[in-house]
Amino acid sequence: MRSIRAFIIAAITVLMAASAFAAPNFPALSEQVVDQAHILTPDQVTMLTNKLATYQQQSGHQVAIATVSSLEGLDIRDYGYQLGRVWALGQKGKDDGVLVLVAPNEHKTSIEVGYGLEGDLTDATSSVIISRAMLPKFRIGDYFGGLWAGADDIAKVVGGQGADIVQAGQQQAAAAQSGSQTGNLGMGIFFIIFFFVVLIIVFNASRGGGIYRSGGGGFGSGGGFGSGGGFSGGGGFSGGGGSFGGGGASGGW
Amino acid sequence: MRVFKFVILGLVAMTLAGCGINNIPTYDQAMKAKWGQVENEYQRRADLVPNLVETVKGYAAQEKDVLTAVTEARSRATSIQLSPEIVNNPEEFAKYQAAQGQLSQALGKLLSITENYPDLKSNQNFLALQSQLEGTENRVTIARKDYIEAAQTYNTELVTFPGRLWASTMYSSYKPAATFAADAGSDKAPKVDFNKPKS
Repeated sequence: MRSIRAFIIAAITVLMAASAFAAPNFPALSEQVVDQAHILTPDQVTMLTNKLATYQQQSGHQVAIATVSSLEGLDIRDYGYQLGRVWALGQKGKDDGVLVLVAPNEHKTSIEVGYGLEGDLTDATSSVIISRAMLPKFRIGDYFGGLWAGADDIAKVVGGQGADIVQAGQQQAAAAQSGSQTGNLGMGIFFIIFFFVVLIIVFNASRGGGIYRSGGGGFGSGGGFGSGGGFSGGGGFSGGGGSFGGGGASGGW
Repeated sequence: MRVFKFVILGLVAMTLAGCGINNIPTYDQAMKAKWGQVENEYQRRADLVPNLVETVKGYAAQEKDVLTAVTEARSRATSIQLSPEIVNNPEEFAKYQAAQGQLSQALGKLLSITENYPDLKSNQNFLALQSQLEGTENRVTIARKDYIEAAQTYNTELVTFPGRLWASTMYSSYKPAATFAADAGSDKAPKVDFNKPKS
């Protein structure tokens, strides 16, 4: 009788210990973009996925985006590095993966950098990318815009233009402090872009192509990248065996 | 005949390997590698401190006490001679740990006073240093967690069967690894959130 009781107590203790150390309920890695929190449209997911898959083909670095509906009470950095390890982003031995994590319900985001890229994508640079490229868009609910700009910057930095981005951030800050200059500059850039857009539309129309056809051509070919995405060789995308150790930065909005 | 001998020796070695004869040295190496990472991250943090102190000094020179406390805590933490056997020496381990804990607390205080200096908080150099410090504290936390796990695996192997058998016969020089005691301040990175949007 006593032994049975001891056994039950032991069993309960083991169960409790197991649940205390249980890892969070991480979403499964299916593609470069895993939108568990449903903050992106399917088209946006496809566009981001294609962007990251292309980048991986060019550079070999695995960059993934995850949106999660809950951090399960963890700090975002704590959650982030664990998810990066579970997904094993980056090539084995190179640890050159990057994970962009968004927790819209907690209003937190982070960039987790694999060991191998910590020298290029430093904490300071990650922090600048988050605060300059991502958070302003996230604040107005434009998750796609923020992720798109963030992914652009990450690709640029890992390509070796980190100093430019930090510098641009500093100039932007300086300009913001001095006030009206930014407004003028912004208007100038806007008009230049507007001019080019009009030019392209006119050009396309004159060739009989039409705007919609040219737009569709650019993004519609998503299927082409699907099989080339992962290292697994199969249809899906999977981690290459890289590891994470806390490089990167986080921010909230 | 001789060939037979080698074959048999090889077979014996393979059988023994199946019994976990290599586990203790393997886990020992893994544990020490993880410890190396902990030391690295603490070193990285110590390297950041002089720059951080200089930058803060430029804006908040009157906070002498806090700045001196950080500088002193840093020199105390870096003056400890680290022997490779530190992981098997609970006393030395605790001393190192306490010194790093003091530096954590001093840094936490330094970051909290910077709240009072808006000019400092908008200084790009400071922001960069601050994000580096946050990242490093995060790395320290992870490196410590990884080390604790590795040390647990190693220690468990020493006292459970069949590792216990090997420990008492072949590896009697292998001692259990010290682990972190959760003392105040050292297990948590100083949490100062500068990123709260004003609007």
